[in-house]
Amino acid sequence: MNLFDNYKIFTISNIIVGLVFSALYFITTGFIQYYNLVYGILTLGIAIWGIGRYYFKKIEDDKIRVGVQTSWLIVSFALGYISIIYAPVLFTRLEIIIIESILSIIQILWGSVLLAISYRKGYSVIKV
Amino acid sequence: MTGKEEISSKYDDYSLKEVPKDSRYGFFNVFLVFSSVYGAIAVIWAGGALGYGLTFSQAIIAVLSGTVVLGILGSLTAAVGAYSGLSTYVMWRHPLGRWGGKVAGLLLITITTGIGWYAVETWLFGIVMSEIFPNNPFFSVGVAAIWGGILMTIMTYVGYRMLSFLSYFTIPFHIWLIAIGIAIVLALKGGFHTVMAAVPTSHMSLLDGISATIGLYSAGTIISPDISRFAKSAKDAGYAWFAHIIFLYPFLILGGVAIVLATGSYLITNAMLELGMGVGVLLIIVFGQFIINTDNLYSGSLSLVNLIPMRREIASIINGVIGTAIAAYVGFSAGSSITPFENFISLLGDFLPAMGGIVLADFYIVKKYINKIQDPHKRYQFVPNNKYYNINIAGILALALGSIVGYFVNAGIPAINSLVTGFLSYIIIYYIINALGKSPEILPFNYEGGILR
Repeated sequence: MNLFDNYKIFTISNIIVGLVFSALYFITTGFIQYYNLVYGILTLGIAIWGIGRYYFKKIEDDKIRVGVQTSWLIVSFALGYISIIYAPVLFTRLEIIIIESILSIIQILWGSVLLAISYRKGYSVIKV
Repeated sequence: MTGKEEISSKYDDYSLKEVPKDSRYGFFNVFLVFSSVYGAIAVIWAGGALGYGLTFSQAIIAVLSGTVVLGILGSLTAAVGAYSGLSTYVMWRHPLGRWGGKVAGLLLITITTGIGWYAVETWLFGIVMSEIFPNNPFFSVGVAAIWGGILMTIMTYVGYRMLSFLSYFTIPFHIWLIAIGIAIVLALKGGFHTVMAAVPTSHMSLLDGISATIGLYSAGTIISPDISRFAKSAKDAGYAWFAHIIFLYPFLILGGVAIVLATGSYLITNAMLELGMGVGVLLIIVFGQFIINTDNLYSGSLSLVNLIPMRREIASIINGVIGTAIAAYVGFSAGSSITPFENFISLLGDFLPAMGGIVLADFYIVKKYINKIQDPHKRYQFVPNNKYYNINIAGILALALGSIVGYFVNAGIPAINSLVTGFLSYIIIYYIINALGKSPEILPFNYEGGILR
């Protein structure tokens, strides 16, 4: 599977992840509702924006660059998301925290692996 | 005096020559680096200081006025960096002369930013670490300052690429944490209505508020060519500066104002901590300090290389070791005060705005209208086998005048007074000396090509 196909799958998966985070709004209470909703919408927005840009780019090289940019945004926001999820003010049920943690760790690890592979192939995040 | 031999290494970052076109970056990269190295925690903290003396509507006026001024000045200065491709201090060799540029770089940047503020921030890093992990020797103020300083020095060793990499991953991360922090504080303290109705604890005049808004960012504005020299075009550099100052600066500083007004707590991070943000707040502080301090050391290393030609990464180690040693000394000697040291480096920092005015006057007015160099790419170009000068009398006199006005005249906005005085006096002095048939530039030397020794 080539690099662009990997990015496409990652981006589409993040639409699902964004929907799950948004859905957490309905099964939680307190500030964590809004925290997950905003993060879910943000993830959805970045992923949809990325897919839109894939569609308009005709050359595969450009599509990979879009993939790098999309993954970078998702990874860095996921780092911000998870770093505060255990704060007392955002505390919720244990099973919800596990879902939140697993999903964001998947975003971070999967995205980082793709970025590392891209870097080795000459698509450095600071150059694309 | 000059030499064709190169100081080349993977991490030198073109410290003494123009950044080549193929090593430059687009708008987005420069925008992110500007946002992370000059923004973040220092700005939100300064917002706290404004919120202590202004109402929210007054703060909006102060911040927007200051933002417009900083946006225009910074865009013009950043564009100079992109046109020339030179670091701030190598550029200063034009309006001050080669020796003048070296001495000004040493006094205004190497000692203040590169060593002084770097040491203060490293010491503060040690304090934050000791607060997170109390009673742990590895995280005591002195020890944490040492390993924190070593980490920051390693990052600076790599240079602009490391700054870019850090910026890419920390800016979205940082914006997220700060935005959520602000939202939590506002949500739990009565919302935006409380902020608008809040009365500040003390009083500050609107002019003082504008002055504080501009003063906080004036140093970053003047040394922006250290970053913008990596921009592909002057347009990219100018837009990147303007965009980051217009979108990010008001958001961060007004966020700080809102938190202080809503909670009544002078220390924003304390307010967030009390409201249960936990480790997120500490991450804001630690990452903010890391990036700001990496840039402090980076600018300090560039100015030291300008004084004594050497590999830039070696200069970053020299500055880093001195700064870390100062931070560790203060950390270990419990009870000692860092205030006299801060006062000293603040005093030197007061002379910086005049330098910004002089560079703008030289590049946009003197070089264009008196020296008749129309192409902006050629105004700060060092052409091999051409004659340049060691001293520019007009620049040195204007720097002295601007610094005196900035320091002694308290009416209006001191940073702007100093900058405008530097700008006008440089043009007037240069014009008068030129009209008398003399040259303000004295003690010539021949540049033979290669690095600018």
